[in-house]
Amino acid sequence: MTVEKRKLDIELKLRRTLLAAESWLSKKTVLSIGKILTVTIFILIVLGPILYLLLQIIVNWKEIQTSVFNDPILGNETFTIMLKSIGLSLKIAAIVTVFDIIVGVPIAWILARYNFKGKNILDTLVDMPMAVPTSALGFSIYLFWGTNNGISRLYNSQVGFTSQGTMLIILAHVAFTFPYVTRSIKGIIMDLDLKLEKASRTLGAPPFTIARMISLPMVKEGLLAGTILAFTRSLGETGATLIVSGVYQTAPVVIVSWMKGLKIPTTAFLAFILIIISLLLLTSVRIFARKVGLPWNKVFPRFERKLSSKKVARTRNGVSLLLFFVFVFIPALFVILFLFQWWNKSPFSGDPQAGMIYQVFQAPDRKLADITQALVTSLEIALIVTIITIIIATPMALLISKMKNQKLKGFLDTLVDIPLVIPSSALGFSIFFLWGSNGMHILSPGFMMMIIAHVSFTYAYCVRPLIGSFDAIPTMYDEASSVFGASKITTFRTVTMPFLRNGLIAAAIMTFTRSMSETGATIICMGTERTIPVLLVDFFEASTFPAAAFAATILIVISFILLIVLRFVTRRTKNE
Amino acid sequence: MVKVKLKDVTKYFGKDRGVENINLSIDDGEYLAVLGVTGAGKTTTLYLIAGLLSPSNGCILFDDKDVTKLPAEDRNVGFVFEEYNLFPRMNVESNVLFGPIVKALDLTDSRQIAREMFSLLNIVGKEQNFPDEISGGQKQRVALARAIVSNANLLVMDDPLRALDAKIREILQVELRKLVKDLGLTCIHATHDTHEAMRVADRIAVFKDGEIVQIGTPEEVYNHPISLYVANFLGESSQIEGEIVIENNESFLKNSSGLRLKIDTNLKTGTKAIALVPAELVNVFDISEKDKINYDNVIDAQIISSKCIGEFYEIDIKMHDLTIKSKELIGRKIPLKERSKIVCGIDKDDFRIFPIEEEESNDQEKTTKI
Amino acid sequence: MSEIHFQHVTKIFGRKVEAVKDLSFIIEDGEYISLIGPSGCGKTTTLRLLAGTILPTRGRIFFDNTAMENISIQDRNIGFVFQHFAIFPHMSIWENVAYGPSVRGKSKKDIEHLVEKALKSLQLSDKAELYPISLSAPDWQKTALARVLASESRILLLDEPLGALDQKIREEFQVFLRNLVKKERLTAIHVTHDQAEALTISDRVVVMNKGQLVQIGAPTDLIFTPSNIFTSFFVGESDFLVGVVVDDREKYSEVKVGNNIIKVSNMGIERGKRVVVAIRREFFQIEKVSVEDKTRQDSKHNSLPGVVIQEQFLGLLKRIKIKLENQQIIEAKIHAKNPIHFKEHDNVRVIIDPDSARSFSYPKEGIVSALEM
Repeated sequence: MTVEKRKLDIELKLRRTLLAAESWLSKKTVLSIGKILTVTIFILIVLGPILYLLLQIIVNWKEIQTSVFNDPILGNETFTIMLKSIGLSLKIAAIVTVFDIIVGVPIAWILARYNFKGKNILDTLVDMPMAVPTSALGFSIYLFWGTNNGISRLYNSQVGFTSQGTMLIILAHVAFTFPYVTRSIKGIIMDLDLKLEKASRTLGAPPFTIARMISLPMVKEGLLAGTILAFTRSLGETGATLIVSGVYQTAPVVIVSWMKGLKIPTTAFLAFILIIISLLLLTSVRIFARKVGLPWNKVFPRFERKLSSKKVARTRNGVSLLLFFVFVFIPALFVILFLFQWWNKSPFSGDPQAGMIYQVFQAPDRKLADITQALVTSLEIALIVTIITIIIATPMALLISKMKNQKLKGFLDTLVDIPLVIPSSALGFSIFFLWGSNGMHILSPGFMMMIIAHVSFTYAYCVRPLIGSFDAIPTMYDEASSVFGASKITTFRTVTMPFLRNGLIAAAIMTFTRSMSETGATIICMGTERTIPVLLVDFFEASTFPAAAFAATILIVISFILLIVLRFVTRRTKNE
Repeated sequence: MVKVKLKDVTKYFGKDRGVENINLSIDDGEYLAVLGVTGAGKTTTLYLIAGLLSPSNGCILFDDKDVTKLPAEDRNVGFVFEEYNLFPRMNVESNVLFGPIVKALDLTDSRQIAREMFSLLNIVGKEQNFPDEISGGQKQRVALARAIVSNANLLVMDDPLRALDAKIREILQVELRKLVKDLGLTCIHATHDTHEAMRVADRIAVFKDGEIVQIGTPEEVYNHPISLYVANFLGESSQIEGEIVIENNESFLKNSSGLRLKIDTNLKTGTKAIALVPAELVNVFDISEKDKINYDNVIDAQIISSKCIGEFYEIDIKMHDLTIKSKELIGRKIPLKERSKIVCGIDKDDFRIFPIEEEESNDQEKTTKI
Repeated sequence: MSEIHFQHVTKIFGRKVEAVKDLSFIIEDGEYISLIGPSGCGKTTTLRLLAGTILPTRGRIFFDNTAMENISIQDRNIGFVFQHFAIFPHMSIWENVAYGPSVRGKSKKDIEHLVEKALKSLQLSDKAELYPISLSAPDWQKTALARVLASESRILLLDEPLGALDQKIREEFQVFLRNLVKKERLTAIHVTHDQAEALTISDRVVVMNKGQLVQIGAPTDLIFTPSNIFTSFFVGESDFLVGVVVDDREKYSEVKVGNNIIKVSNMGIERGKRVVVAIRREFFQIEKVSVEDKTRQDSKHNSLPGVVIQEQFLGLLKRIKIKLENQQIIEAKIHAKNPIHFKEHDNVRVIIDPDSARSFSYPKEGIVSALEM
């Protein structure tokens, strides 16, 4: 009895202490300090490097001018290379984005509106290129289109369908950017009110007209956001591009190669220009998204009626699915097939030394050890980054979600998105620039710098879905909780957190996969450590394809597992 | 302006019954109310008529032309939804002109009609507003204008006033009927509210579990409900169980507590039956007026409780050992205090008599035939 | 003791949206008050001001003479029943009900005692271990009420609490709710758009429109003695006759409407002034008259001549539309069993009970604007 009573007393004391502490934390001043801290961390880790880069460009303008425009030996050759690479990058990004929209929108529609066997599988497959490291993807695509192992076998050619270069870059970029478009609108299409479409039917509009005039305008913002993401991802991608570009260098690849040559001022200037382009794109979309109307009030009844026929719809669906499989799915996973072809010997010469088994497990350079070590490094980094990012991103998401000042909210919201659109090699470079020997000189490239780099580009991937999760919690629960006497922090612990659980898991997985798969920033910040996507690029450059295929397959399997877990978690959230 | 006919229309959703064997014909220019609880098949019927669903069986005729296979966009049915379903990204004017635009009608004409509708419905000045900037009542007016401007000759409304506040609902009921009658439209209006159905319609079709149980003018349905279900659904009422007794060619209902009510029925002596009396037909008088009043049944009673709910007093009355509900319009002066002694006057034809049990199944067969 | 005092409370959203304008009234301890009015009239804002989820722009609110402006939501000790219940879905019924006392740091024993008591008085004891998802709307409603009881609040705020329930259950709950509030001796403020609900459930009703208090009074006051034309329009149904006061005696004034003079309640409006006479449609009595009678001014009856346009049968009652001599159309509600059938073109006299005919001075902005919601 007394033991029982003492237990109760302790419980009460503990609870009262906790409540008192929470109530202290909920004080206006304490909360304000928390808010300031959240924003400061965000600025320091995410925006700081970019701002510092901009500052340095201005301060050291003379030096940059010399090395870029008036180099005593090269003249303005550097600038010419820069312009060329940016031009190529923009051109590729534009073509890729157009293709993404043409295939991505119908597929999103199919996934959102039709019910068929294997829909869940297709849904996962569509998302997969987003989770698989781009260097693995790029390698797989190179094998499929660019060597005599892939598509060219179908017509018995000794060379690949296309060689390294613009065409191959486009094919690779389509594969990993296209899910951004599909994903960004699939959810919106699913949430569209079917009643509006019913209403338009009773008013005399055939299905195609309804999609064009009623449904698509509602997904306009989502589509624009997805498009901009696809465009900037293509513009800034490094991992896959390193593999498929050959002599044609896109801007991010140029950054990596200049960085390797330690041409700091010119790299800084190129990174600066890329950042500016991305920021311009982001802000212009933010500003114009609402204003850009779809001024198609003109109707062509007969034509649209024809387009609405079941036959046309069926053809359209078939063609987009076919395009998806031929240009995205098969090339992306071809590496697995390749691995089995080259398992223990070359399928062409039968040479066992060209096989995977020999290269990975038996060759004297001990590739297996490299792979294991790189894998461990990757997992360690991903885990640490995920924990740090979740801790610093959750308060930020809460802050943005609950912010009452709409202007400030919009501003912060845009700021958070910046790392999403900036080429990761440019971001990695600015982090190197700020923290490394050229800036504060706190860190040199290595494990720690990689962690900081990863935190800064995964931040946005973590905050974005968390804002969504916070927004989805009805405010009445918060109000109910405070009416019954809970302080703000108590409310957060007892009411908000349980709602947030699945959202947090989803955000964590997203952060983890992004960290696992990144190449561009990693190459710049890694020093002597190597992550597995970087190792893959190295293997590729050393032309040990079967070993590279082994590494790529491991990466694909890991990402696939994570993706399935993610889907499981998000599905559960929806059901609840 | 169109005649609508449903012949043996049945709709199943997988194994679930939506509606079964609906036979209905609606005259040119008639205002029909479809009355029933949630899940009675009202919306399904309306969707079938508009072509938003296609029947599993049976056919639908507009002016004797079979439209069963015609897609919704070609039926010219103006549909007004419960949740308005205005296009959120378009302003009021674009919403209303959406129909004419997609049908490629002459826009100058349609604009003219739209303007007339705006002034008829009292929403002039809101043309440039977006749906989230106007009130619920205004939204439903816009939805109505939109349905009519698209050249509809049949107006179908799915519980259009449900989401609105009581006062606006009252006002719109009157407006709706006037508009439909002025324009000469054929109109089908689904509602769960008996009073609304009576207020707007020429005829009422009562739905239950996917079937029509009764159809007729408000007066017919109210005065001669075909089943206990319909009678109960039409309003608040009290039930008295007893046995039929015939004396001197007059029918009575006797219950166990000795209450003896004069009723109007064809049922034979000894039949067990329920007499149902709507609350508003139980008339309350001060005990002093006992000799002055002229009713078939004049019964002593006592007031249990009373409250004023606006246009009516709701009074609970103790009559023998029964509790009977009464509703009296507030204009009359009547005793309301608890335990006041009163007399109740009920005419014999105000009891709706339904035999119990054995005959019940019989009763149901009758309803399906109609 | 929980007396609530509103002192010139104004709430402005953004720059100029005046949700509530200069609201002053007192709610007495143990009173059941309803707030009614058209949507957007400020009733929900008033409730939120009481709860403390928003603060007044001007004016003050007192609970028992304690000013509330510096007292945060969680310290006001208020019970709130939300329109959609806001039952925490991740807690069992028991945990939901225990939420208030446990976050206020009550001991386990006290919590148990309070929760058991609250669950018992709402007949929820056997469902304590269940989670909200396995229950239905009426039980959520009860849980919401039990949660309030367990938190020992003296003031209960209800925001459209019965809106999510079906009509029949709604009516049962109205009685239940009132009994509970009276038994626990709470002060209750109840927002609803359903005037029948407000009239049934409350001691006094506050009618609001466009952010302002229009009238506050007992249900019967609102029905029988509305103090302005908005109340007579909004609570129940009335017709409005426009006329000029020609004579005033002690109890009644005489008002000239068209060419006729009728007697109405004297509400202190001077001779010669324009007035609006508001008469509830239930209070009209209709009598058929012959053509000869029609032209003769009938001094015996306080009546206006008219012609029937339409009789509509509505089961509960009959509505007779009548065109008066001044072309105005009025509607009378008469008993469904009224044996007289009125046909189109019938000449009738509309008899007016002077006690229930209210006269208000003609609004400057016109009747239509005065009734705008």
